[in-house]
Amino acid sequence: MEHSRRKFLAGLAATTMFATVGVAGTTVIQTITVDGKRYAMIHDETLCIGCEACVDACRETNNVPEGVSRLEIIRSEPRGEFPDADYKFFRKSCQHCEDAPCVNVCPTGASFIDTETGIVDVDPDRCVGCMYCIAACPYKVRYIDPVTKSADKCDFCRKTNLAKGQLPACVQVCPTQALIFGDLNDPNSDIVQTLQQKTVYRYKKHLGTKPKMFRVPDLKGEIEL
Amino acid sequence: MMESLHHALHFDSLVWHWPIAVYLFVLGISSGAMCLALVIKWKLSAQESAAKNPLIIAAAILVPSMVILGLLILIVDLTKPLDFWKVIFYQFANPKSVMGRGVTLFLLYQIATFAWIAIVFREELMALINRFMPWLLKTPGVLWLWNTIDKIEKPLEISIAILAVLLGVYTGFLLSALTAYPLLNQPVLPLLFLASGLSSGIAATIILAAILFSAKADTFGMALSHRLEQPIAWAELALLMILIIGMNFGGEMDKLAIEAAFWGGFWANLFWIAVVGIGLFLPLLMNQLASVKLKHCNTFILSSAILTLIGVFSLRMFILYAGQMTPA
Ligand code: SF4
Ligand code: SF4
Ligand code: SF4
Repeated sequence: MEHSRRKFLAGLAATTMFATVGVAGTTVIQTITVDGKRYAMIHDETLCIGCEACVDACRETNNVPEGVSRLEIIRSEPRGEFPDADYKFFRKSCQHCEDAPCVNVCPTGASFIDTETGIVDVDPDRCVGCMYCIAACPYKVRYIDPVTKSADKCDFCRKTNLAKGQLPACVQVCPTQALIFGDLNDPNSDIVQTLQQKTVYRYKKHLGTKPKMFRVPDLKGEIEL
Repeated sequence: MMESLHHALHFDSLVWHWPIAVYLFVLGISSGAMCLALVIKWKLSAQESAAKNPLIIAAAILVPSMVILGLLILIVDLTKPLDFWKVIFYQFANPKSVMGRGVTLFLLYQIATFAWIAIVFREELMALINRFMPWLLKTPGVLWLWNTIDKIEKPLEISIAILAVLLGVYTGFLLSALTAYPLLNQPVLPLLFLASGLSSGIAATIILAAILFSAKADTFGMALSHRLEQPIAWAELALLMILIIGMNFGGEMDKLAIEAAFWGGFWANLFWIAVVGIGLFLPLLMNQLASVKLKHCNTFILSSAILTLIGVFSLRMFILYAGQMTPA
């Protein structure tokens, strides 16, 4: 199934449309292939304005209860002097590690990597809530869902938007197109194209987790890994 | 003071709380008590009955009850305690999971140790069964099974020794599998926990044997226990030094983790005072200084064992909490 970004945008507010075309140098059309293999995401920290629209969209789409969140946008200390001060933003969410510590430690197999999509997910029925995965995740993005009492985290909208052939909610809603989602196995995907053009880094890559969350660094400061 | 205690017990990167430390502690006791009981039994002369030895009796009580207690703690600590059967049912779904392999180990260990108890205390158990449920012995297969395990006593004991050592190292591997925390992700952790588990198993067995089964300093196995205690304590000290020095040779996060854990703060104090001071040095020192007469006094034996237990439990708490203080 091919879906163009335009289709997704059609339903969005006009302001979002404006912002989307307003950003120079980003790919406007993103395509996703639902039967692809290795879904990944880019967070372009140079484009992120810290509006947290993604956080709200995720909560709404995936029915995430209050008190927990699948993603956070962490704001740095201000850089420079007021009124010229600005911030760096860091997206804290599941990295969909290819060698995922959460999956490796899970005693019941509730944490798993979906072989069709490469997405790391949790089977809430199978999970007993031992919290081993929460301790094992080096990115500290997992939580116990207060309603289901199971471990949970970002699933790239696997059970919601992706299942409907749409882009993840956070990607759809981002007004500056700071989030790019796609299949690493598809050389024509926007994510692969962008990865070829931009300098990216991956958080805590040295731990050998092979994270699939790429970040375009906001180069005005040192990159913290 | 309360403020700093609150910070020491609640921080962002803390996932596993004190029940896990208790869990690791009681499993260590079971593993250590089992090893001690086997060593004593192997040294007993043929005329002496293992079933009459206070230390072996105490260990036979500790070994299964501590594993059951550990499992109960683990289950109650789940967010879905009623789903605990899934851990057993799906234990092979992820062959790589340390916790999953732990569950397999518990099952084997529990079965094997019950079989061992059935052999060692055969006469006593027979008498009990005859009195309270005589039908059991008439049930087909029961006596046959009992006689069969009787015949494999030696191989069974060797398997149990292996399982007990595995249980001891498992408590360390459970934590050392966590790449997310540099202080926990250390290869010496399983050995350290094995050694401290042995210490605590010996100490707990001595305490129980002395209080309930009137073990004295001249009870067979008591001298042996004391002879084992000291080298194990030295080994623990050595492993702790290797941990600290080794991590100082490591990367940035290793160094930060060491600094946060061992120098300054609540957990550092607990480590130096309770783990090293009370748990290791004090018993070693007491043994060096005490006269032979004093060493034969029960109060002396008990206090030394209690100090060891305090030290081992503090070590579990320290590693668990201080380990989670510094994420990778
Ligand atoms: S980021 Fe954490 S939760 Fe996500 S796959 Fe990696 S280890 Fe698992
Ligand atoms: S909390 Fe659930 S998903 Fe996580 S390791 Fe335990 S059983 Fe697996
Ligand atoms: S991909 Fe979906 S689940 Fe993940 S953070 Fe975005 S909206 Fe939430």
